[in-house]
Amino acid sequence: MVSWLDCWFADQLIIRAGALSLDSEVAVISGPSGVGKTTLLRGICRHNQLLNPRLVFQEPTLLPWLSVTDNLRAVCREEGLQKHWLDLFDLPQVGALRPGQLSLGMQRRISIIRGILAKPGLLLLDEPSASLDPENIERLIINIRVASRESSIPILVVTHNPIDFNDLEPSYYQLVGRPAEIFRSTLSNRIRGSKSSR
Amino acid sequence: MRFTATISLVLLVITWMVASHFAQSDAFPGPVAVGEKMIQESMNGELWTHLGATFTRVFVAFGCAWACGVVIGALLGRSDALDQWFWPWVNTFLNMPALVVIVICYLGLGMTELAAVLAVVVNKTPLIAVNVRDGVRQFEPRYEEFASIYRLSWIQKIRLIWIPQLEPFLFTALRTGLSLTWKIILVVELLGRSSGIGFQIHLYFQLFEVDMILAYALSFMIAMQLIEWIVVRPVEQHVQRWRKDGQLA
Repeated sequence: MVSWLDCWFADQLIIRAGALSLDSEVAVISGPSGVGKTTLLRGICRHNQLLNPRLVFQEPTLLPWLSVTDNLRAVCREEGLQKHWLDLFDLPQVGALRPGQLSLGMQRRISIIRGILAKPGLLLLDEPSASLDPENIERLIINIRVASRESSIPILVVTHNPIDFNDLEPSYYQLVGRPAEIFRSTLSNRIRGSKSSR
Repeated sequence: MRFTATISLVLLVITWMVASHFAQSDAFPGPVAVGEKMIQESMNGELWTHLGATFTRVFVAFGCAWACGVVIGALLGRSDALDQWFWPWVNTFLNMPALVVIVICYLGLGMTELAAVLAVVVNKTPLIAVNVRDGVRQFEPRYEEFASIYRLSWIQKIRLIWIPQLEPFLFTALRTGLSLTWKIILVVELLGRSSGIGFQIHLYFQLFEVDMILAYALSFMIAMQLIEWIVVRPVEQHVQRWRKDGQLA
């Protein structure tokens, strides 16, 4: 179970206090752009310190002056573990490269590895599929599934496009209203249906 | 680029040669006469002795000014309260004429090496501090947030996040600071030391030997330019090579 307090931004209440249960490996929170999804993730980070949460930012915050290996070493010095996760994510050759030499999709996937290597109790992904083409989204979903199964870390994703994550069979939540509140979503079947009919 | 710069410098020397030829004056010797004096002074060891003395003062004074400036600039950049209180101080020292500081230090501490170095440190620290303060204020908030959420230690923050973002400002401070420091050191030496390029310039000013004045001044300028080409620029290009990385997709 994760909870959060009222989230404010510039003297405005954006999100009401709430909680959700992590009863599946992956939970997806969706909501329209500007509803406060990133604010919610920050609120969850602040309020659940005992869970040791790690946020993987929408804009990859890999340090551009360091190689991929050095970026991962900043949170985990175990080289074997770094190599293990780079192999699992099908990125065995990128260790010596710097983030600016990689595509956005690769940077996102390495950011997820960095998040996992920090050994969190909860991994929060902020719009991981945004601005990616379908091929990269597919790779990302495969990697998130691997991450979830291999690490047993609960993963919470916020997105404005929940259909991208349908293959992970997550529990769905929706963030609606102003100030926003969270509701368990019954959209999953409808999303599944719409995806299979595409 | 390098080829153009070399040709440009050769043209400058030729212009100097032609101008001095037409001037026909002891007050305006040509590059050949100055070059002969440089060789003469380097052969008898005088040039190296005074060059070494000035270099030592420049690096000791600039090293201290740089260290103080980085600390002060970082503190002012990070803390609005400190900035509000102490920015006027930095600004005051920034605008204080170097000559005034040198004279005050010599009057207060006597004609000593400590006074000479202190004068430069007091005069140059604010310049470094301003550069570093501006750099700290332009830190990317997202890296700060990453450091906070991923609980990086203070040492990791400084080493992995702050210093790389400060590098362009540190190099600007290094370049401008070093070039201004050695010019002030010459004044310091001229006013109150018995060694160094400034002292030699003062000596040959009294003897009205312009070729010797130019020989000493030029040799120091060449040495400083060599430091820029051999040390500063390669190091800068190496540590900032990541800025040239392009996006593949």
